[in-house]
Amino acid sequence: MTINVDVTVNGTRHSVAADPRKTLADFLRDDLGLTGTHLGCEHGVCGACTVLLDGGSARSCLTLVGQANGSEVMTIEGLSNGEALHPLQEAMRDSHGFQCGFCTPGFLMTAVELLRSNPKPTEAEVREAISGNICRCTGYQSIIQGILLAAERG
Amino acid sequence: MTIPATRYIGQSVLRIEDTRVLTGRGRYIDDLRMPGMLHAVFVRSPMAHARIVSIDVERARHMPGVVDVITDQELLAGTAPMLVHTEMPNYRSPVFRPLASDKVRHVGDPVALVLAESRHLGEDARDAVDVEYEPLDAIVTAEEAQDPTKPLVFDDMGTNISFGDRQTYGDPDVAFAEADRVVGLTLRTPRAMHVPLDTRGGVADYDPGTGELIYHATSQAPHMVRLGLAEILRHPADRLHVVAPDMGGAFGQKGFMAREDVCVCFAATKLGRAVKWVEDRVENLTSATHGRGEDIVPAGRPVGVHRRAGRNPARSDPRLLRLPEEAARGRAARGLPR
Repeated sequence: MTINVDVTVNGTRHSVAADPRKTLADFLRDDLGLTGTHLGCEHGVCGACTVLLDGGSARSCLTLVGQANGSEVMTIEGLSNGEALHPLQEAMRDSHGFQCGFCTPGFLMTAVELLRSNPKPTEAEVREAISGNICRCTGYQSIIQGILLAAERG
Repeated sequence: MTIPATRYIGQSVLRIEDTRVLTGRGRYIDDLRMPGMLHAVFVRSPMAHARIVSIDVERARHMPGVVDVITDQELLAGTAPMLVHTEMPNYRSPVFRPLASDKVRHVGDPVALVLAESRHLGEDARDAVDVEYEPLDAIVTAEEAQDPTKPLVFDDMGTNISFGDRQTYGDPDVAFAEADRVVGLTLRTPRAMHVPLDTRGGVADYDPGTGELIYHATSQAPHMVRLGLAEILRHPADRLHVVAPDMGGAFGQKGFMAREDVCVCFAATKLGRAVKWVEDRVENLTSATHGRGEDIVPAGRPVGVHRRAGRNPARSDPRLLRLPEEAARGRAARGLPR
C-alpha cells in the first residue's frame, strides 16, 4: 500500500507514492538524497533531524511523510544558495560553533526559525530556543555565540 | 620553502571541513549509499544472561525483502575465534563469537543478523526470528563477579574475574602511623555511556572479482579494525581497507573492532553485495561499549582518608594521605571490552 504525497522541498515540488509508515526524515534522506538532515535518536529527543515544515521547526524523525502532504519543507541544504554561506552559517563558522557537525543542521534550522520571529534575541531567548537540541562535543557556549553573532550582524 | 612560524600559532584557524558540515554535505556513515546495498539488522538479546535453547529463523527468512539470515553456526566455519589482545599481565580473555551461540551475556547481545532490501523490511524480519532462552542469574556488579557460587558468564574462563593485580605505592604502614585520623569510606563510580549522537555503523563493500573488501566504518582506529577483520575473517590484509568517514562523535566508543563489524563484513563477502549497518539508539545504549564503573572498598584494614596535623595544629591541613584499596572494576560481557 502506498499513499500519494505532494511536498515541496527546498523549492522543488515532489509528487510521490510513499510507504505510509515512512518518516519525513527517511523520505528526505533515502528518497531525495538530502542526507544533511541527521538522525541521532529517532524518537524526538536530540533535535538533529530538525527541519522547517511550513516555516516552523519540526522533528522529521517523528513526522510521517504523509503529514507533510501539501507542505513546504526546508532542510539544511536549502539554507544557502550554493554559492555563499547563509549569514547564520557564516556566524557559526566564525564562532567555531561545532566540532563533529552531526547536530549542526538541527541547530541551524532551529536558529533560523528563532531569528525569523525574533531577529534580536537575548542570550536567554537563544538558550530557550535551542533547548530541544543536543550537542555532545562542542558544548553550547559557542553555539549560542554563533547565533547571537548572526543576530548582531543582522 | 619556509613557513613563517606565526602562520598558525596564536591564530584562530578556520577548519577545512566547516563548509561541508555547515551546508549539510558532511558524509557520515548513514549517508553512504552503494548500488544494490543491503541493510543489516541484528536480532539482540532481551536478557542479561541466558542459555540459548533454539534459534528459529525460518519464518524471518521468507518474509518480504529478506535476502539472508545469518547465525553463529554459519560464522563458526568462516571466522577465527575472537580474543581480547592486551599487553596487561594477568588478563584473562574469553573467546568471543561474533554472534552469540550457546549463551547471551548482556541485554543487546547479537544473536542473528538479518539482511534485507530495506531497513524497514529487515526490522520486520528481525521481530520474526524466534529465539528460545533459558534465563540464568545475571552478574551485574564487581562484587557478584567475585562470588564463586554465581554462574560463570564465560564458561571457558573458569572464573568471572578477568583481571587481578596488586600494586603498592610508597609506604602505607608509615603513612598510617603518621596520620592523626582514619576515616573509612567506600567510593563507587557508576558505569558511564559515551552516547555519540551518530551511533556506530559500517558499510561493507565487497568486490567478488578482485577479492577486495572496503569497510567504511565509524572508527577512531581504522588500522586496528583492518588488522582485526583480516585476522578474524581470514581475509588477506592487502585486500582489506577500512575507511573512516565523517564521524558524529565517538568519545572512545569507536576505538575498537566490534563483533558487529565482523558480522557485517562476513555478510558482504558471503553475498557479494554491499551491506550497511547503522545501529539505532537503543542498540547503541545496550550493545556498544560502556565506560567501566569502579568500586573502591576496604582492603583488610581501616580504609582511610587521613589527616595529618600541620605544624600549626590550628591550621591542620586536611589531605588525602593514603587510600589502601581494592578497586574492583566492573566490565561488561560484551565483545572487546576495555
